Amino acid sequence: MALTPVKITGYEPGPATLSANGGGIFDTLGGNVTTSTTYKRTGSRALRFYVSGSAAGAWVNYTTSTLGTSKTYEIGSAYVMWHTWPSGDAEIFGASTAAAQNCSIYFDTSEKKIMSSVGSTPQTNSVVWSLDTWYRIDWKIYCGGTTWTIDVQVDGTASTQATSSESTSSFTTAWLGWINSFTGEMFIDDYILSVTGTDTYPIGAHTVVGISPNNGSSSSTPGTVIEDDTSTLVDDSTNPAYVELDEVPFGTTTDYIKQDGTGTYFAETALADITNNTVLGAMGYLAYTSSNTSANSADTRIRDGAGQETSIFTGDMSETSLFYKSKIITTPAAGWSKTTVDALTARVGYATSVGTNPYWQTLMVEVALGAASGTDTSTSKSAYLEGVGQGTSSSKSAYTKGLAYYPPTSIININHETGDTSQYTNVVNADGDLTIVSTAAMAGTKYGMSCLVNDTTAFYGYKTLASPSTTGILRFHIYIDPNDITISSSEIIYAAAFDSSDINLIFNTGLGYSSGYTIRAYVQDDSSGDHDTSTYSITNTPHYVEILVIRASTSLSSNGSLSLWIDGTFKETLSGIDNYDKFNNFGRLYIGKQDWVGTGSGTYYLDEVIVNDTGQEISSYPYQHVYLEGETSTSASTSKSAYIKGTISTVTNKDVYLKGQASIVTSKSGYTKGLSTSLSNKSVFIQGKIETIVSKPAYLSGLGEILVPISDIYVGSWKNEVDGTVLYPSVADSNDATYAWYQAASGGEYFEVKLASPVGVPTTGNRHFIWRAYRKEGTESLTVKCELRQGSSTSIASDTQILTDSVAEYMYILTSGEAANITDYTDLRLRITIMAVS
Amino acid sequence: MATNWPPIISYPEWPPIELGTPWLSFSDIQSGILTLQSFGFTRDNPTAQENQNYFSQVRCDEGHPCQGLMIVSPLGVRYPFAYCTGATHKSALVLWIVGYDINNNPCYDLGWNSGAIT
Repeated sequence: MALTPVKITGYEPGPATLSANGGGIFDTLGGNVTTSTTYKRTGSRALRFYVSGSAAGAWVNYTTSTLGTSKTYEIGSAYVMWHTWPSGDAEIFGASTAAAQNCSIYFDTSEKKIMSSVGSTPQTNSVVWSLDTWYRIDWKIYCGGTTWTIDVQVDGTASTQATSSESTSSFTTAWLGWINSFTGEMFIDDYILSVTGTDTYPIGAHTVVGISPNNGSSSSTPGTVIEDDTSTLVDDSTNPAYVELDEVPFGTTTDYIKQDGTGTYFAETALADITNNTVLGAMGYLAYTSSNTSANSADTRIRDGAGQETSIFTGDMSETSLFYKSKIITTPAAGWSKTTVDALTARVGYATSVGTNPYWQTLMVEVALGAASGTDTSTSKSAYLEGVGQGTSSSKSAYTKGLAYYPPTSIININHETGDTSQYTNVVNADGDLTIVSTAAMAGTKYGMSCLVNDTTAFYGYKTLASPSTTGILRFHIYIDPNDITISSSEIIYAAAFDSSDINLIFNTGLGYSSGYTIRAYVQDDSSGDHDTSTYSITNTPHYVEILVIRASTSLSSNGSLSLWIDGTFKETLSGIDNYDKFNNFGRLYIGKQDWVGTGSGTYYLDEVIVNDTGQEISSYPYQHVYLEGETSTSASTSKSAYIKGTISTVTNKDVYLKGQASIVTSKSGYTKGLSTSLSNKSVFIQGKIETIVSKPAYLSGLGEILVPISDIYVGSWKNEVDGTVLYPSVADSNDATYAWYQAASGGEYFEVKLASPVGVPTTGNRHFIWRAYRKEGTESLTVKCELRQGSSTSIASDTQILTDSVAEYMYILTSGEAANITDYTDLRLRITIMAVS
Repeated sequence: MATNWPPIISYPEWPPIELGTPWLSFSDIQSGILTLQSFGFTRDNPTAQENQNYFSQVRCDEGHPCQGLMIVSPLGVRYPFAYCTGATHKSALVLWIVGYDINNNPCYDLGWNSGAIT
């Protein structure tokens, strides 16, 4: 996006009392304009235009002091909300020109629509507004030719371009608010203005965040002249300057950095980091005074990681009341990104005249952030694998595909798929109002938490971390479905996080009702002061809520924050929170109905609770871990070996569905299928089936156990292949070079070996024994018996053969009766007996 | 603090009633002129009488001598403003309280470079 803004502000600096002094906040301040911490879209405050009782104007201006001279374009974007409708058609944004003809974007209070007007024919935007709802207005106004134009969009819905034939002119102001006398209450937040005609229009969805000094810097060069308000020299180890420069909102004069001698001395501070990588631009803000009004001169600089500096203000700071300056920060050579924003530092000092001491009261940089593009592709997605046979006609062996939808890294992952509360460390559920049931399942899973509302008694499950997280980042995800619940008052606190002491609240979030269901989140500061987001409407359907809490960087900083997303749409950031001590670690999470003092009835559902301490986006489908698919070519012509498919069911608890099927054309070797049942906790169902042309419906095949000789029972005069007397190893292997033999055979001679015991006792199936023998020499006929025996006296079965002159293998299959006679599989033996020599 | 400012002799109440707003302040005199021009105000030089009444011996908060200008409302009401002639200071003196000095006296000086007129 091409954007060269002249103003970026979410009104995060404030100040506590608005002022045009110095021109850093406004160039003109007209009437009833303040900042609000109650109603804001992002961050900690928004600009409030409020007139009640006697109608009056309420507006602010940016003049050529901000715009520059001879500018013929104004391209802007900001978010607007009405809390009380205006008593007349009130202006919201506008532009004055040197020709004294105004261009106006105003609100038609009867139609509840935005109008754009230049000349005599205003254009109506089709979006109908509601109270207490933020709308984004994008505009592009042109007066540099004889046809002036106004283009307007409301949340992306464009109006017909308003035009008027006028004389070529240039803009003298850009204003916000109504200049005529009305009553009403309006809020504006996240304001961006450019005067470059080639910049991108519309600017579109965005936020503006304020980043404050939050740490010292080893680059500081205080000399003996850069001091704090107690005249103590700045020292980055023991007395860093950021402590005096980080107040939000601006407006205090009790602590500051001062310079009481000239020279190129300065104090440097780091600035807080941002979390978004789509940076549109940045603007530095300064609040200053001096010890008196005698002239001085000093500098305030924002410095990027490559050493490029932007002076927010260099000159005479000799004011005894608060004055403000601001300036767009020069884009770093590497462009704007999270990396280049995070590398910014601030320097104060460089005084060339200290007739009175310059006081740096407060600094801030406001950063405009665009909507995050696409999904987070940076981390933790395990793999995306795809293989495709090439060509269209032949030799396609298989098509396989693997897709990791979401492999979340988490420190808490409660999906309730156990069907009970065992995923929680403990449950408080005195009335039994908390149940884990299938009707509460969301996001394609099987179970969720059902929360019955019938009294004010709290119930919840909580998860305690074995090792509390100390990263200072907590990202929380949950699905919630109001499910027609009735809430007559108050909010149900359905989730809350505490530190390991279980005392310090990190955040909580509530479900409320005000002409529809609402979601809100809260973060608590170190003084136990609540900072609340606005309430955001949700429908009576499942939604996923994500909350990101970031701890202030030090105990002396006020730069913690809480951000809220609903269904993946960013809603708001509360920033400037002093929560370092409250959020000293994260140790416990509560889910259920932790607190509620209202009345109501019904049941709401919660599910898919995930927490990480990296801040990584968690998103909507956390449980489709992997999608795997394999299939043969769709061409029927050649070489299809198999069809294999795996997929996650979207309906029930089928973790993975695997199916294999032989080609319908040729070479069917088998059909295998794996399927998890949808009924209970049976993990996998495996089925095997042979071809359909025979009547066997299914079989599972495998090798039976082979029991080999493990010891000698009786050897007699038998010898092994090296004339030794240990026989069993020689007859246990499958090598014919090792054997037992008897020289000068005579009837009745035998040897006996013990067989190994089977792992399990077979109850069905065949049993057989195999033996191999031959007549080594001579011409007599040799009759030999191989006998399976149990213990010392029981013969189970035997096989008698007349040996041949080459090795032959003999197998004897036990009858069912013989098999049934085996009562002790641990004491089976084989006996070889020379039955006759003739 | 500024000397002989605001004028001792009575001057029109600020802000101009036709603006319909209870408060109006500028960051610099040029912003004031541009803003008020869009409401139909005009800029004019002081008359000799106005110079005597409003701008005699006026000095800014850094002690520089000042000159005056008049902003005239659509109803013809003439509002006095002063700007200092300091080579680098060039501050503007206005009719509303900008802040307070260390002795808690009200200040009317808009500060460095606020009186530059283009």
